[in-house]
Amino acid sequence: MSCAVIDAHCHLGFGLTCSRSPDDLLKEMDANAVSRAVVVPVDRFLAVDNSEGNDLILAAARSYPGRFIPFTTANPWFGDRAKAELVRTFAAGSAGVKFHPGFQGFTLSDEVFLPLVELAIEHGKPMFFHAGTPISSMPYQLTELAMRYPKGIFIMGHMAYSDFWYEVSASAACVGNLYLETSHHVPGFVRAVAQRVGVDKILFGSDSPYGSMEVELEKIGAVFPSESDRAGILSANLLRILERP
Amino acid sequence: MNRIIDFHVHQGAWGGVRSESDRPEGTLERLSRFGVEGALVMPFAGLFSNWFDHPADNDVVYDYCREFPDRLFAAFTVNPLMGGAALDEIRRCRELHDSRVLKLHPWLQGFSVTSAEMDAVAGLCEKLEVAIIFHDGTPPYSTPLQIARLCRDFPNLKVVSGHAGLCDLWQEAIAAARRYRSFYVCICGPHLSAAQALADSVPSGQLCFGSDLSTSDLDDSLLWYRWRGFRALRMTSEQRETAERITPYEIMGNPRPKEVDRETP
Repeated sequence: MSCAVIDAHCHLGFGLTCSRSPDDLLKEMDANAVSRAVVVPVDRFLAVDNSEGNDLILAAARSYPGRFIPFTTANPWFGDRAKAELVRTFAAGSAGVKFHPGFQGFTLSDEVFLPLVELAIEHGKPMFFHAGTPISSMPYQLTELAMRYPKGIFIMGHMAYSDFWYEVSASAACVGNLYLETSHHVPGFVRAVAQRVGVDKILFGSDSPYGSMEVELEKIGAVFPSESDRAGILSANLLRILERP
Repeated sequence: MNRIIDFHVHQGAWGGVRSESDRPEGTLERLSRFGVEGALVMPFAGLFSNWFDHPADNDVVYDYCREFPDRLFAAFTVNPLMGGAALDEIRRCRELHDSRVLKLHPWLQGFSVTSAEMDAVAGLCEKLEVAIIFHDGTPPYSTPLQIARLCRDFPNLKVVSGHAGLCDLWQEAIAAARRYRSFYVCICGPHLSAAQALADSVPSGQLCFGSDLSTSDLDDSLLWYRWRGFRALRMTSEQRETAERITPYEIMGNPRPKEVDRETP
């Protein structure tokens, strides 16, 4: 890849089922010429130990300036404590919010997490959603949310892999504030969605260590022969979100 | 030696359309580019069509595979909701074509695995030594443990999870494979971390690989993506050999080499 590469979806932390240290992630990034990565917490840090996980990724971002872009989280069932946690992490340098309805026990239609959505919007932070799990995190649920909050920036993880292929492009095409991250989905689908919704809505992500940065990058190279398309997907589209006024 | 088999290939394309340029020679050539030597070829059209079209749709797949009986292995489909017609088609495919694998897609075909109609199909397949490969990973009708209950109720039936539970239900596939020796897992769709967990946890001899290639979709990127992922898995050479070359044949009843039907000169 000749353009700068930012991975929009990587995990950091030492969870019960998934562990990844900053050094190991940096090794993978360097091996694949990835300059920066959005980092989000892993399993238990998403579910319950929010502050511990958030502090870990914020510390990693401070330790390796310019390499990690921390997206912090809070489980909405903590209520006001969740709001306070997000405010705390925003002040400490969090660039966005990660929600994982499966780990955090809510659905995208559940009003319990709307105060956190409104808080993120108030602070100008984009929101990244695990998507594709039936019942809790489906494309039309996220679309409805994006329509309800037109000032918010919503990112659909994994393009809602796997069985929602009819809905994904139909969802993203009808709202301007919904972006699609590419990890795990099959190459032909990624291409078709980009053609329908526009490459400016597509963000490269690997979901490392659940996915392989090397394989996911090769996929983008295979699917998008145009260098300008790749430049947008691999970094410019995400930077436009992060650097918007 | 057995060939490396892609155990999840569809003839035609999603929706049941078929490309004029779709030829078995081309499919084999495409597979070989990724080091794959043969495939289980399942219907696509039959998953979308009405039951009275199933014999014709199944025969298209047989015709497609006919010239390469040692490399392309045809599967067939029925809709269990069609009762006697489904059973007749199973008998026809088994007797006429020596079929050993039935493909079912509970989501597309709109039936529950836990139903009297499914029991009738499973019972006949058990008797005729026909394995059943299911689409799975998709609630409400296609979860690994839903299809695994057939292993409990039909202990001599081979049941294959066609997608290993995809990204959300792969743990179910592991649980089912550990409980039932007759439950096989085709890794075809879970993310790489889940695929590694499956490779580590599913008992040896119950695992195989599949790409979900549609033969009429001439884009090779899916084949590349899936087989690239399989080869990145940490497995012993024995485990890999078993998954690629042994288990697919075991599921198919270890078919003997066949003579190609040719006209006598």
